[in-house]
Amino acid sequence: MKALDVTSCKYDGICAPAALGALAAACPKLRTLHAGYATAVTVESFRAALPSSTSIPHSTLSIINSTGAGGSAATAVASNATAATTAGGSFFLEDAALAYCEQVDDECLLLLAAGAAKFGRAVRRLDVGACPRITAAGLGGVVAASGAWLEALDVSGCDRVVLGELTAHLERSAAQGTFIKKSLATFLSIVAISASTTLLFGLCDQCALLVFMA
Amino acid sequence: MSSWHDDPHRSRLSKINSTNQGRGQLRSARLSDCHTLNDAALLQLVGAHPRLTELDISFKLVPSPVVSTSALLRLPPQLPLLRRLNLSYLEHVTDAVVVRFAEECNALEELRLACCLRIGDAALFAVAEGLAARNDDTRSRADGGGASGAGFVRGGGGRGGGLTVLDLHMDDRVSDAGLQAVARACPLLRELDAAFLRLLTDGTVDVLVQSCPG
Repeated sequence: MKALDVTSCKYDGICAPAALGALAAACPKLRTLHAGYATAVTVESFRAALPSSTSIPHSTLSIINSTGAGGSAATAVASNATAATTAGGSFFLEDAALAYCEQVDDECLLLLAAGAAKFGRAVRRLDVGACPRITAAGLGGVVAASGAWLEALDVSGCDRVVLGELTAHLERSAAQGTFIKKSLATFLSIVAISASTTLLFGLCDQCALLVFMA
Repeated sequence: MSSWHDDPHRSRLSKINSTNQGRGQLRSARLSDCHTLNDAALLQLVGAHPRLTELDISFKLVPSPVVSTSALLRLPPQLPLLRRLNLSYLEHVTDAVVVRFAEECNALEELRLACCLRIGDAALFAVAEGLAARNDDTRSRADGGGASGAGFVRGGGGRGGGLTVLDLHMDDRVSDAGLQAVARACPLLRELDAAFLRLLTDGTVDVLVQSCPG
C-alpha cells in the first residue's frame, strides 16, 4: 500500500504511536498519509513509525537559524527531534495531510522532513491546516529540507504561523535552489571547456605528429 | 500533430524558466484564515514562487482587510499559471482586481470570490471577455485551423474558457447582465454559487441552463 486516507475516521486511536508504528512496519512503502482530524497523532507517533536513526540534518538547522525567524525555538525543537526514534525500516512520507490534528507540532514536522531526507527524498505535499501548535519555525524546517521539491503547502487557520516568517523561509529556499542550479551550470561549463580544450590540444598534437612524420 | 512549442502553456513555462531560473517549485499555497497575512508576505511568497497554480488567501465568516487592493493588483502578472484562486472575504477585492486576474491569468479554472462586496458586473464582463477569446480559439481548433495548425489539448494555458467553478456568494452588486455574460462565455461552468444575489432573476437561470449544460 502506498497511500492511505483515514481523514475523519471516528476511531480515537487512529494514528496513535502504536497504530502508526504498526502501519509503518506493515506498509514500508506507504508515502501518502491523509489523517485529518486524527487527534491521537503526536510526535511519539512519528517516532514510532520513522526509522530509528532519523535526525534533523545540521544543514536544516543552520538554514532555519540563519533566517532569524524563530531561530531559537527551532533549535530547541530540533534538538528534541534529533533524539533517536524507536523503529526501524524504511518508512517515510512524501504527502502528509494532518489538518485539525491538535497535537501535531513543529517537532512532528521536523521528524517528517528528516525521515524523508534520510532516504534522499522530500516532503512534497503538506497539509497542516488548523493545527494550533504549528509555527513558522517547524514549517521552515520542512521548507529547508524539502527545498524545491515542496509542491503544496496548506497552513490555513494555523494561528501561530507568522506568514512573514514562513515566506522568508520559502524565499530563502527558492534562492538556494537558484544558487545550486547556477553553481551546477558553472561547474558543467568549466568541465565542458576543459574537455574541449583537452580535445583541441590532443588534435593539435596529432596534427603536429603527422606533419613531422610527413 | 502539434509540437511541444505550440502549446501556450509550455511556452509560458519556458518564459518563466528563462526569467526565473531555479525559483521555487511551490504549486499550491493555501493560506486560508491566516490572520498574519499582509501585503509584504503575500508579495514575497508570490515573487518567489511564480509556478503557483493554486492560491487561497481567503477568510471565512468575517471579511478581512489584511491585503490591500494595490497588493492584489500586483499579483496577476506574477502568476501566469494560476488555475485556482480563492479571494473570498477579502475586503479590498475590487472590480479592477478581478479584471487584472482575468487579463493576466488565462489558465484560471476556479475562481472563488465569496463575500467580495465591492465587485459587480464590470468584473464579470472582464472574465467573460477573457473567455470569449478562448472560445474563438476552441472553435478554430475544432475547424482544424488555428495559428499553430493543430488541435492541441489545452494544458491550462488557453484563454479563460476553462472556467469551471465560480463562487459569487453574497456578492450582491452582481446583476443579470454580468452573470449572463459569464454563462454565455463559459460553457464548461459546472459549479456556481450565486446565493444571496438579490438582483438576479429567472432570466439568468434560463441562460445558465441553456449555456452551461455541464
